[in-house]
Order: sequence, then structure tokens, then C-alpha cells
Amino acid sequence: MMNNFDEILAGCKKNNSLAYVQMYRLFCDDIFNSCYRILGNTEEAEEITQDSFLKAFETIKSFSGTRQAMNTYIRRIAINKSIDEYRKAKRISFISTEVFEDVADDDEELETGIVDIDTIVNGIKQLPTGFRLVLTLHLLEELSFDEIASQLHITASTVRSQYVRGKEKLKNDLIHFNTNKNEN
Amino acid sequence: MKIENIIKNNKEAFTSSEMLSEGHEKRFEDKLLLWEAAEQHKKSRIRRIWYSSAAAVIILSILLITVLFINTKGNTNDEMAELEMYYNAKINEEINKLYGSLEGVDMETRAEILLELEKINEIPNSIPKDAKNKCIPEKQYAYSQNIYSKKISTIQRINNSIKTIKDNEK
Repeated sequence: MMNNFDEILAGCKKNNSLAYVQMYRLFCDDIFNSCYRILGNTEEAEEITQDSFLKAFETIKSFSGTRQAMNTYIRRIAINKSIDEYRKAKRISFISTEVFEDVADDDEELETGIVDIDTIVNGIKQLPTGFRLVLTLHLLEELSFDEIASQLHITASTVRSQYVRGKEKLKNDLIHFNTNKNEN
Repeated sequence: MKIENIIKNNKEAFTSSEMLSEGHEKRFEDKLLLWEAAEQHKKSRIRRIWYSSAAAVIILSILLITVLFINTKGNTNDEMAELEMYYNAKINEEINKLYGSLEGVDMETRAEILLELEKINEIPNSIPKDAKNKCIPEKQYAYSQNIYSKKISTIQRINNSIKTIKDNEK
């Protein structure tokens, strides 16, 4: 049984099946989570997670980084695959942003304590797909606007306007939610 | 607090409660088996293509060298035959002229000249066999051409000398 990352990596480089499985065990939950946040479907997320590991194993012989770097590497493959899957299935509907192309990101601060984090999590889930995807990719998966644009095959300014509008909608939803809660 | 900062500072809250479903490891192992077989097949296919390419290159090289060798040899042989034909005809022409010039020359001088002619004919037209292997075909060709030219110019000189003597006698 291999215990540390270096041993597992060395095993993978020697095409050891057990090492491959252990590498999967190390990161599968984290990778699955990223996929699920984008796809919102457990079966698809599992499929993409496993395919991403196999894709990473194809080039693992030339990998020489740390455990963290391996996680980032596989996650990046998984995110790209998830976005591709999402795009292929044409599930993304971007709300027209023509009038918002030059929208400024004049983000007002949200009053601390106005809503709890679980409400924000649910709020993001309720957003239209385009907004949700861009917010998730930028804030949680830490992809730049340019990276998101190239993955989604849209312009960086469209991504930015989707992001600004998404954030605006989320904030308004949260304020409404809070008002309704207080009224009740 | 800005909304993006709230999200960034509470990333763990976005970790889904959804987990990989039961048996996911077994399913991954099955996939892994298929992947390993496909990779093996891919590798052996690449190896096969590589070996085939290498074999094809070697065969083509051998063929090319053989064809070039045969062509070079064939060309040289043809060119040599052409050279021999041309110069032999030229020498015969010059000898005929010489025979014409010998008319009216006394028997003793005629015999002497014919003897010299025979000696000229005995000089081999091509490069000696032992030197042939050390020479490229172009050099062999040039050597023969030189011998033939010298033979012709010698016969022409003899002919001219006979003509001069005859003219002086007149």
C-alpha cells in the first residue's frame, strides 16, 4: 500500500494500476465537487471526474510537481471537460448583454449579516445558467474572464457583463429574500 | 462586505453535499482496465507504425541505391561503347587516308610505316584492369578518350609527314 503522494506518483509513472486507483482516491472528492458545481448532476459529474483522471494519466510520466499541483492539474482538466459538456448540451442560455457590454462593476457592499452564507449558496443555484456558470467559474474555480471566454467560446467582455449582471441579480435576490423574511 | 469577498472567504460552504455515488471506485477500476487496454493497443500501434516506417525507409533506401548504381553503371557502359564506336570509326578513316597517302611510297618505307601503325593499334584503348577498380567511371572514360585522341593525332602526323615528303620530292 502506497502511503504518500510521491510513492503514488512514482507508481503511476510505472503504469501501476494500484497507484492509479490510489491517485484517484486522493483527489476524487475534490474534483467531483468542481464538476458538480458546474454540471449540477451527479452522474455526469462522476463521469467527467473519472475521465479527467484518465486524461491526466496519459501525460503523468512528464509530471514532476507537488500534490497540490497535481490536484490543480486534474481539476483544470475536469473544469474544461465540464464546460465542454455543458456547452455541447447547449444548456447555457446567456441573457442578452448587448446593453450591458460596458457595464461598470460598481459593486455596492452588502450589509454584513444581511444574509447567511447558505442563502448565498442557494441564491447562486437559483441564478440563470449563464450567470451561475460565470460566477462559479470566476469566484470558486478562480478562472480569469479570458479563460472562461475561451472555454465558453464567447468574448471576454460578454463574460464580464454576465458576471456583473449575475452579481447584481444575486444581490437583488438576496435583498428581496431578506425583506420577505423580515415581513414574515 | 462585497459579495465576491463573502463567496471567496466561504468557499467550503459551496462544497456540495452531493457525494460520489456508491460503487464509484469499482466503476473507476473498470474504466481504468479499459483505458489501460486502449493505451496498450495505442502504444503497440505506434510501435508497429514506427517499425513499418523504419522498414519502409530502409527498403526504399536500398532500392534507391540499387537503381542509382544500376543506372550509373548502365550509363557508363553505354557511354563507353559510344566512345569506342566513334573513335574506332575515326581511326579507320585516318588509316584509310594514310593508305591513300602511301601509294607511290617505296616498299621498305611502307613496311616500316605499317609496322608503326600496328604498334599504335596494340596500345590498349581502356584503362588496365587492375587500375579500373580504383577509378571512377568518369576517369575511365576520360582515359580512353585521351588514348584515342593521341592515336588519331599520331596517325594524322604520320600522314602529314608522308604528304610533305611527297610534295618535296615533286
